[in-house]
Amino acid sequence: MITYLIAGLFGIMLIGLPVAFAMLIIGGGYLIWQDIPLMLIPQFMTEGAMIYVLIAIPLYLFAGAIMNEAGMSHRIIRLCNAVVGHWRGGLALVNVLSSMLFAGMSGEAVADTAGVGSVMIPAMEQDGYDTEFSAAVTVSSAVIGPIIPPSVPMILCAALASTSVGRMFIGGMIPGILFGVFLMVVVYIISYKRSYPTHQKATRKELWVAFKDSILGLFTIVIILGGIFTGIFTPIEAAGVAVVYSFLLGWLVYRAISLRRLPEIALEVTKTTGVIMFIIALAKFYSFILTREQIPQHVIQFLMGLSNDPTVIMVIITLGLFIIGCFLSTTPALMLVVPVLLPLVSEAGYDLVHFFVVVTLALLLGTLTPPVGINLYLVSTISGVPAVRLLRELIPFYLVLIFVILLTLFVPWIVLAPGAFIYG
Amino acid sequence: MERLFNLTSTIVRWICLALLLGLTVIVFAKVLFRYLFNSPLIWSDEVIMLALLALTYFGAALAAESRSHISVEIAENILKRWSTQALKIYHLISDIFIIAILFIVIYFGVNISIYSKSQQTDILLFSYFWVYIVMPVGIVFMILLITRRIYEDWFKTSEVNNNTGRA
Repeated sequence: MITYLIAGLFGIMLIGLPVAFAMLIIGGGYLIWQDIPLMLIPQFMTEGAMIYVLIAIPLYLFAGAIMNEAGMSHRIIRLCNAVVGHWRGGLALVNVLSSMLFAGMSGEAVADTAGVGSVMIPAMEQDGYDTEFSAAVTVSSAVIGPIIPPSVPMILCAALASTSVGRMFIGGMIPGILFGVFLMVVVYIISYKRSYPTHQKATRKELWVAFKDSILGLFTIVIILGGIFTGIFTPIEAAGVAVVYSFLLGWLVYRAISLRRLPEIALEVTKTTGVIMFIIALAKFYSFILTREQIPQHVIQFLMGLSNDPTVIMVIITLGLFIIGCFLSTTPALMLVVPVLLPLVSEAGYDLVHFFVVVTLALLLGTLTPPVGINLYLVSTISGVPAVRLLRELIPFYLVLIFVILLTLFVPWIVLAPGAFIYG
Repeated sequence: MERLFNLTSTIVRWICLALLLGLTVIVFAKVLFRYLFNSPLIWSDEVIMLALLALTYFGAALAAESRSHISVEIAENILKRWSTQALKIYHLISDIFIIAILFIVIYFGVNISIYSKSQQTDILLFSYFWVYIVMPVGIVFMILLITRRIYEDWFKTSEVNNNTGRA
């Protein structure tokens, strides 16, 4: 039975049917086999899409898309350029710093890759950076997007593990910032070695203008993060407010969004929402079957048999997730992995938030690797460099991310301390 | 035929648009009412959940039209390199297979809707029929849009094929 459920699923996925349909087919086959009424399928498909916290997903996607359309990335880039542009490898550092700020408004990496990348890669090329390097910096810094809150994968984890979205968000805060800072250090070292250009230091006046230009946009971060962490808004409400705020800002103040363009942006968001939610709904059905067959218990027994030390088990899990992340994109991977690993959390005595922050980080590495790294292919489309040629440039950045993952794994404090500080 | 497909596509787009904007407005109104008027919108949660449910399946239908659903693209890439005709046939077979499965889902979806007609939701007290029927209706549109895709693949010269998976 286990072989049917697991191998069957991957078999159908390998043929190329969408992941959601693979779950539907294998799950439906199981029901027929076990003589269970097929009415369970529509029941799970309906209930699986009606999970309250998931409302945050379309809203954060919408806010991010509006910000992008409003030209927020340009303004943030200008500000970052005024701050760090005069250091060695200035534009590369600007790229990372902009992504960090953008991460505070958007919940996924794709918007970030597209928004920052389409501006920064041509600018860096013109400045004398290698295209491969520019693309590699863009794609690896974009991964900060789903680590620093708001974050779509963290919302998914919270929904699946019935924990608070706020706590998951805040758990990703420091790992995200650390990743950004370490990236900047590595970028600086590489730039120094290859003597990439520097720029003249911005004058006070330029700095002030850049700051004034972007402050209203950056206020979105205050609304989202400040609102959630002070308890003024729930994460869902913060998302709703952010959408309205960023729309009014882009429409009335920046005058960058026309009402005519709004439907186009919204449809792109509904499409992405449809893709994510469809998988969630069907994964709800599929994971019910996994639970019914006690597969989580088998997995846990297997893992516990390997070692008695919870930390060692976690390292093994992380390695496993690297591999899964290479073949599945983050949403379906989380949907499959979280229900299976959930019972382990209490069994091995992990902290729920810490555990799932590590899980998310480990899976995100996979968005940067072939064969199915969504970000990798997106940036290769934007920059025109084949994905394979990016790999060599990406190696140092892979190492940075792996280092941050291990640091987060071994030092739970960096995930838990801010949460303990705010929520007590 | 073509007009029917275009009409379907337009309807789905309008529904998606209305749902997303509606969802945003209600969530925003909820905050407003709680803080400014001190009277929480009790009915809002149920409406929001229904909107999310509808958004899921209409959005998924829209995504199916442009082949945006997440899949492992290894087989597709091999075929693409080999011949475009093979890719077309491969798409046709998998689409027909998916449509067949979706018909089964619709059948049982309608069944469960009728079956749970007498149950009512907690706050707004409407019948569960209206909750369970949302998914099958969305799937009907999904089938229509997948059919449109097949039609465009085979009977139209200009190929619309942008399949970059997002999420």
